[in-house]
Amino acid sequence: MSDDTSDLDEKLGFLAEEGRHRRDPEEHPSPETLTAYQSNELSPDEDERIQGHLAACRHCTEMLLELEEFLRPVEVGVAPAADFEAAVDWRKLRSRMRGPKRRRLTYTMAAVFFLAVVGLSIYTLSRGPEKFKTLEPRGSTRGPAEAIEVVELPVTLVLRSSARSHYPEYRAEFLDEHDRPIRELSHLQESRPFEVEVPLGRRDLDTGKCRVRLLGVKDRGADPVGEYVFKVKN
Amino acid sequence: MSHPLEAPGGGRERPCNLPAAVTSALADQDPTLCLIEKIKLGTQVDESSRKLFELHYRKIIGFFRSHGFSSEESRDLTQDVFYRVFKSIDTFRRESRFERWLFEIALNIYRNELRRKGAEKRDAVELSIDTASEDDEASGKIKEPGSGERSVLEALIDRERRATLIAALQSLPPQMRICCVLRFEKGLKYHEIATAMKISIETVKAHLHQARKRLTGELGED
Repeated sequence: MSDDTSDLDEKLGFLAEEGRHRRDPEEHPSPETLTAYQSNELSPDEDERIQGHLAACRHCTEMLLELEEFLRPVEVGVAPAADFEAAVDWRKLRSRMRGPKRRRLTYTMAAVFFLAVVGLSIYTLSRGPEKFKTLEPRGSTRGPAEAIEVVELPVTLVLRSSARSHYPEYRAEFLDEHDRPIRELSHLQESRPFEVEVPLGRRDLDTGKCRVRLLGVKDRGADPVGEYVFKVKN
Repeated sequence: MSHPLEAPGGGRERPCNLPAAVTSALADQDPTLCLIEKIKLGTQVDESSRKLFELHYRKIIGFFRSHGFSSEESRDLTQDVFYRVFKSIDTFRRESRFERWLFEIALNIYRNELRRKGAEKRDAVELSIDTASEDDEASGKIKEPGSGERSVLEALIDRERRATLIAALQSLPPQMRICCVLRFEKGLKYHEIATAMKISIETVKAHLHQARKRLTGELGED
């Protein structure tokens, strides 16, 4: 028996030699098929096919054995790799992951900035240069009948106060030619001594004659400090 | 979406500080799943990603190192694996094992790298055999015919024996034959054969024992 065995071993030795020279097949099952084989998710036919391939393929046999190692879950409490190499590689990976995102963010910000600049330029150009119109209160000048100023919107009215003292804030009441209130602006303050600026947009007033009453507000009371008449031209 | 990271504990401590609904499902599972869940939920993404990376980094590096890649190459390939993991982590389903998914990605990258290296090799400049033999001749390295080499007759006998052996192997039942090939041709250990074939070690032993008996019978008759 032992002679038979040693004879057989000698003969089987050829197989080992054969195996050393044999090349793996060109085609391999996909990683997903290999893991499915390991997890018993394949049909018996597929299983047999994979086993046949394993007999001929050193690469896949090694991979299958390696998969066993892989599937061992990381034990809780085992310190993870926190060495220098891992830390460096993590930083590298993180910057690689963030790379395109950051670039995207930069491009977005640049686009927003560009649009803002263009928008602002268009707005400024369409608005034209800022205009100011200084109005004197009625009855403050002597002589011939006071001429009615013509105001083109948009404009910033500069209303000169006829008061002798300053008020912490002012209120402007706009009335149409029939003395109907049409607009009121409060919490106005002096921009210069005895001058109150009232900005008016293109659609704030209708065309026609307009009267403004400026009131100085102090201690819940309001004193008239000037009245102005002008004609709106749109 | 807000998730209380530091939810007040009511008795048992929840893993990963995730909402109760999520953690209860993960309570009995591994820390990897907790980390993935946090990444998917968008809570502590950076920290959880780093932990996940550190948890499996050595395994992946080891995988590439064990397949003959240099330290630098292994680190680069490991980067590729994790890059792909984090890019497609949303497609990972909890029903599956993360380690399995990780292995599939690593194996894909390994095979791609082999293919790339193979292509590089094919594109490399070929050296003439004649040049080498001329060099060898010049240095006196050329062996005399038959000196230390096996004779043609021996080679013919070997070939015949091999053919007989392979024919005998082919007559064995498929599973038994594959066990023999894995054992005698590839030199696998019993437990490795058992793993590859998904059978018990006892079955492997029984197959090999039977195979030896049958082969001895068949080859002895020659």
